[in-house]
This record gives sequence, C-alpha cells and structure tokens, in this order.
Amino acid sequence: MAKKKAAPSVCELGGPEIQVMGIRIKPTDVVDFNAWSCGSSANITVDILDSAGTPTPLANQQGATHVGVTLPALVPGDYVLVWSFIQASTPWKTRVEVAVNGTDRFRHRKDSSTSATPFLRGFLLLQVVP
Amino acid sequence: MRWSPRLLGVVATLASSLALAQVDVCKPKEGVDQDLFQLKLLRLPAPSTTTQLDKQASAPATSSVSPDLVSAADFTRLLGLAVDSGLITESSGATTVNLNFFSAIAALKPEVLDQQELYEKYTNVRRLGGSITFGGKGDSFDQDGDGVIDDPKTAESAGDILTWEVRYRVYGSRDRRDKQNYRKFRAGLGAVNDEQTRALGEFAQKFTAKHPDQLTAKYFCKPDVDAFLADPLNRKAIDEFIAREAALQQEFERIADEIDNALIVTAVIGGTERKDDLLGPDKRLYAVRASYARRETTFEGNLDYNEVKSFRSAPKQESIKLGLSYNTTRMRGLIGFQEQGVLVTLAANYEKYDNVPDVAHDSIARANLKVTIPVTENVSIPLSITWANHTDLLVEEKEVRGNIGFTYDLSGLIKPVP
Repeated sequence: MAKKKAAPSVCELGGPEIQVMGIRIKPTDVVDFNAWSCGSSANITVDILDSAGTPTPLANQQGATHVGVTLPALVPGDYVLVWSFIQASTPWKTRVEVAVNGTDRFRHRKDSSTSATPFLRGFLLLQVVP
Repeated sequence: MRWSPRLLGVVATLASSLALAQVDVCKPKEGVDQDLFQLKLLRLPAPSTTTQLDKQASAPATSSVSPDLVSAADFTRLLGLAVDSGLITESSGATTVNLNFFSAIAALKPEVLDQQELYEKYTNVRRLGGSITFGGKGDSFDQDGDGVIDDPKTAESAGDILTWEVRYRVYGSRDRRDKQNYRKFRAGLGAVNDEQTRALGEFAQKFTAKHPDQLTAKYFCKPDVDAFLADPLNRKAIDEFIAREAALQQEFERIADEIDNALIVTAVIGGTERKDDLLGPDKRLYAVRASYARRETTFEGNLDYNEVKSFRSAPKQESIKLGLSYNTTRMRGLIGFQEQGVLVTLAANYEKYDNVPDVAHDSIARANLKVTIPVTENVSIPLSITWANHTDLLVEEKEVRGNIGFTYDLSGLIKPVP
C-alpha cells in the first residue's frame, strides 16, 4: 500500500528561517511575537527588557501550542525581546516569529533532535529609532 | 522619463526588501547565531552530534508515515493503518488487536500528538487500554476422559477462542504531558528559568553595547564574542549563568524522575471465551495493579481474582491472589562492596483457592525478607528469612524452624576471586 508523508506540524509551517540578531523599528510600528510548541507540553514565557535590563513580562503560558503577543508601544531606545520554552518531554519542535507591521522579520526553529536541553531560550534585539 | 505606477510599486518593494535585509558584518565563517552564542555562554561545544536527555513517557509509537485515511477510510486502508501502527499483531496463529484507543486516534489524526490542546482533550482516553486476541491455543487437559493430559488444541477459526482484557488507570499518571504533571515543571523551574532568560537578554545587550554595529546584524562576530566571554569583567556573571543552568537541569531531572515513577493504580478485567469445550473452559479475571518507584525504591502490588467457569462436570473454580513486593537499597555509603549498600527485598503473598485442583492448600500465605550484601563486583551474600502458613511451603529454605525458614549463602566468601 502506498504510504504518504504525514502533514507538517504548525512548527514546520511559515517558510524558511530568517536569521538576524536584532531589528530596527519605529515607535509607531506594530510588532507581533508568535511562538509555537509542537509534540510536547511547554511553558512559554515572553519578556521585554529595556536598556537598563528592567523586564516587562508579556506572556507566561503552559499547555498551549501557540502564544501570540503584540508588543506595547516603545519609546526610542534599545530593547531586547526574550523568550523561553520549558519542554516537558521529547520529541518537540518550536517555531518563533517576529513580524513588524505584518511582515515577518525573524523566524527561528528548533527541535529535540538538535537540542539536548529541555530549556530553550531566544532573544531578538530591538532598536527603536524616532 | 515617466515611471508607471506598477514600476514604482516594484521599486518600492525592492527598496523595502533591501532595507529589511540584514547585513552580515562578520568575516566569512565567523558568524555566531543566537544558538551558538548561548552554547558559548554555557561553555558548551557546538553540536556535531545530538543527544536526548529525556524521553517521551507514554505517547504511542505510531509511525511518522501513514496512509491518508481522510481521503478514503475504507476497510483495507484502516486495516493497513492498524498494522502499521502496531495495533494489530499476529503470533502463533493468534491475532491480537491492541485496544489502545489513543494510538488509534493518533494514527487517524496525527495532530493530536503535535498540539497540546488536542492531546489534553484525550487525557481520559489514554487511561484506557486493553487487547483482544482471536484464535490461538486452548488449555492442556484430559480431553477424552482417559486420565491422560492431552496437548492443547489449536483454534480452527479466529472466533473459536476469544481472549480479552480491558485496563483502566484509575489513579496517577506518568505522562509528562498530562496537566497534573507538566505544571510541576513550571512550579519547580519557572523562577530560575525566568532569571536565566533575562540574563541571556542582558548578555546580548551588554555585547551589543560594545559592538553596536552588530545589534541589527545577521550574526554576532566570533572574535568579538570570544573576547566578550574572555573578559574578566563578564566572568562572574557567566559563571553564575552556568551554575544556574546546571541546577535547573538537575531539578528538571528530579521532577521528570518523580513523574516517570509516580504511583499508578490500574484496574483490569479480562476473560477467555471458547466455542468448543475441547479447547478448555471459559475464564474471568478481575485485578487491581499498583506500581510506584522512587530513587532506588520500588513497590509493586497486585490483587487478582480468577474464575474458571464450571466446565463439563467440574464446578466453578475461584482463586484470589494478593502479591506485594518492596525493593530498596539501604546503607549506601556505609557497607557493602564499594559501599554500594544492601539490597532489601520484602515480599508477601496470600492465595485463597476454592475448588481448584492441583493446589496443595486452599489458603497459602507467605512473607519473605531478603537482604543481599555485595562483597565483590560479582559476588553477593544473600540472607533470607521466610514465614509461611504451611511448613511444606518452605522446601527451598536451608533451615526450617516451625513455620520459619532461613536461607543464607556464604559460599561467595570462600570462592576464589577470578
């Protein structure tokens, strides 16, 4: 009997990865952060740190496949968006995207076959210019 | 020259794409992405091979490639899928259908494994399991009344013998994806993980404060990253980051171990139905099984009620069996070969029979305490004390005093060590 490949998971969708350490945005830009966890239960957190390192928690969810947040309006300056997954079991896959005004500017994937730790973290530097 | 609106649109799109494109400011092959940056912070090598520290507990073993059932869920395809997924197996003329309903659902809808919300929806379904076996062999017994035990007959058709068992996990879960379990990870690790995540952001900020050209670049540059990590001003923060990560990993393993060995209690109902009495009598089983483990300690408990239905002229046979077993290692670091400690095993069983031939007593009770002391790598001294409610049950003991038997084997002490 002919066999067919299983449909891709939501973590495999979205297109190729977009490699970048940081992005430059304007205060009026709408920045959306989206994270997906597949194959396991993950605790997903999202914070934004200002230039003094003061954190503002944006999300802390457990047991959800998808976490999505829109960043608050940011005054000019340097920030860093940080996120983490704690994966309860293997196998797992993740996908993280940051879009500015609806355009994807960052996409990152990981999976348990290439990561030996249940703790996955990421960051994206944001430079807000007037 | 006049620009058409369409051409202007294309130019604008191109200009926008160029503005978004990230500049690689590093020399070729000197780019450090964020995964490598984190590994370097933790002083871990870049991965050339992969390892997995933990494992999925209790997700079904379905194949990643499956026939597409949505388009044509005909019987042949369903059967093919069930065989692919290990839900149907054949052995010695018997066909066993695995009643792991969640495996069947996952084979039909693989997204229930991927998406936690869907996975959680079937939490109670995963408590249920079992099997049905069609065909196979009957029992050995005197089929023709000549006083000689005959070989068991084999079922001629699948419906001649039906053996079934249904299991339901009534208490506990070892599935890390169950809500009661995954919450333990956030509760035990959340605060330190948050600290680590923010520390990562601070490291990235600190690095780009020194190298502002790399803030919106494609990569950080390796020589700059290496210099940043080697900077004595950053050493303390990096050492603390590494220490917290090691503590997190250790705590994760402790929580995972607790979940993987949690107490679970399962109720079992089963039976055997036979069409022809030459295959043997019908049977019933009602049982409760409990299992628990924790750091060098295991506990198993089984309570079984078995019934063999009245058969030919024989009355109904009944038996109850209770078995308990507790294993632990004690005095580690104090005694035994390489201070391995001693293995202590406590086991007890009680059996009650009614109309069951070939058993010596209608009631059997036995308790055994065994201590095993390792004296070399390959030699251990077992010391055992057994109590039984009938002295003839103590036949394997070295010495018997009343209802108590003692067994010890000191031969390991005088055997030449190879």
